[in-house]
Amino acid sequence: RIYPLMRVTLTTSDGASVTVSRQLTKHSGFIEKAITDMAVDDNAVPLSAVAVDVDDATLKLVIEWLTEHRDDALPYPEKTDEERRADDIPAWDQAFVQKWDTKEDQQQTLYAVITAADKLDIKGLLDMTCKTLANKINGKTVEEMREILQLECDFTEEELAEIRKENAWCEN
Amino acid sequence: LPDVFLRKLMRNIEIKDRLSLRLTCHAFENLVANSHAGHFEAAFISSFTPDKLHLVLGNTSFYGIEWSNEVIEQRLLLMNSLFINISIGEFDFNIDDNFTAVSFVRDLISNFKIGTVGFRVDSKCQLDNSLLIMSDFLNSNYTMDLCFLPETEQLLSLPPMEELCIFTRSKISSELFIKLLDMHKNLDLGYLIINSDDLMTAVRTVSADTRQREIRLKVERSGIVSCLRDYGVSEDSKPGDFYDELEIVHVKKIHKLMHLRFDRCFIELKRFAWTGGDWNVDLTISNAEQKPSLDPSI
Repeated sequence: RIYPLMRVTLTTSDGASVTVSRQLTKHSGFIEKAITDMAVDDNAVPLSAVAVDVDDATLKLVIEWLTEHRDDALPYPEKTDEERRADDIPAWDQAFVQKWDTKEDQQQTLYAVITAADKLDIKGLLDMTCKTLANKINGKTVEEMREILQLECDFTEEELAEIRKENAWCEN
Repeated sequence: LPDVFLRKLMRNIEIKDRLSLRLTCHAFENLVANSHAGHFEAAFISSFTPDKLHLVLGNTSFYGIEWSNEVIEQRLLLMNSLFINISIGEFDFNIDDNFTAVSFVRDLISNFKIGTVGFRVDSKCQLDNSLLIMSDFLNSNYTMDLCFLPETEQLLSLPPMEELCIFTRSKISSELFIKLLDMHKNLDLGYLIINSDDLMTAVRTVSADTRQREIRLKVERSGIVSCLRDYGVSEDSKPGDFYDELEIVHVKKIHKLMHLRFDRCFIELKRFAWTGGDWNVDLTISNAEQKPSLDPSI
């Protein structure tokens, strides 16, 4: 059982610390496991600090997302193949991601949040960022894809020609 | 990016974009080849353009193939380079009698998971080929449009289908219809000869079934008139009249339309008239929860 007023302190990779409600951290598999592993009294206030391998700026974004999604169902509903789709990102989440678009390092921010969601095991955030990146990639040229995914082309001209020849079966 | 994320990402990428991603770098070429492509609602494959094969996966088309071993090998190589698995909601097959095409298609879709496998079949050879493909997808649902009437023995040996449609000028007997009704969930049969006992058996069967079912039949007008008269229904019957458990729900002679109900089963007659020539009446028997649509303007 998670008590709404129970709080946990998180220490970030760059030395900051932030105290948040267990209502938020319950969505993080990593933090919940860390608390369980501490085997402390759930009523201890505040709980001992949990170290997370996420920087302060990224953790603030993660907490902002968790605050909006604090009442989401747990465990996170795993979707079947048939239910999976990339065009059902909730409006608040779209706005949350759009907000990054005003930043110069939008791509870096998205990647940092994706990595944080993975490290902290926040399935809903990982799902949403995954759909966001998929939507950015779909319909783009090879060059644009390399730019979005920050990839260096390591093919020789001959290798590229061979793959293009294989791909030629596709008519559009 | 974390591997778990990349694999999740690849389930949300269109096939056409997977082709482009192969060209970005070695790492993504490998990721494309070794990741699940996710779910696509529909796919279609046709070999009916001479010497060509048309494959549609999601919004991506693959077109044209020469039946040489070299080209076939190249195409299989490409498909194996695009994903390790893929899930398709409904895959429709329209493959001619060419056994090379069937063999190629079976290899091509060997790593596919398909919800419903659908066939359009014009000949016995194509029916045999369809059964081969079905044997590769034993856990899938099946639908089939048969454009000829196979030998009864082969027709009755088909696996249970979500929907079996038979479009043929040959008349289907009442006895065969009842057997097909017991085997397949939904039927669409043309030119059926039916007697009142078998029609009532069909209505009772559909009414008692917990699954949602729809049976669409074309029956000679005089045959339907004969069945209705056997139940006691006549030209003078009106909505609200009961004949045992059979209720008249709606009659609109001017539109040649009649709706009846038997317990949970709705019966719709379209193009129906008590007198006239021997045209075919469209008869639908359904236990769908929603009643047949009644146009308020009628």
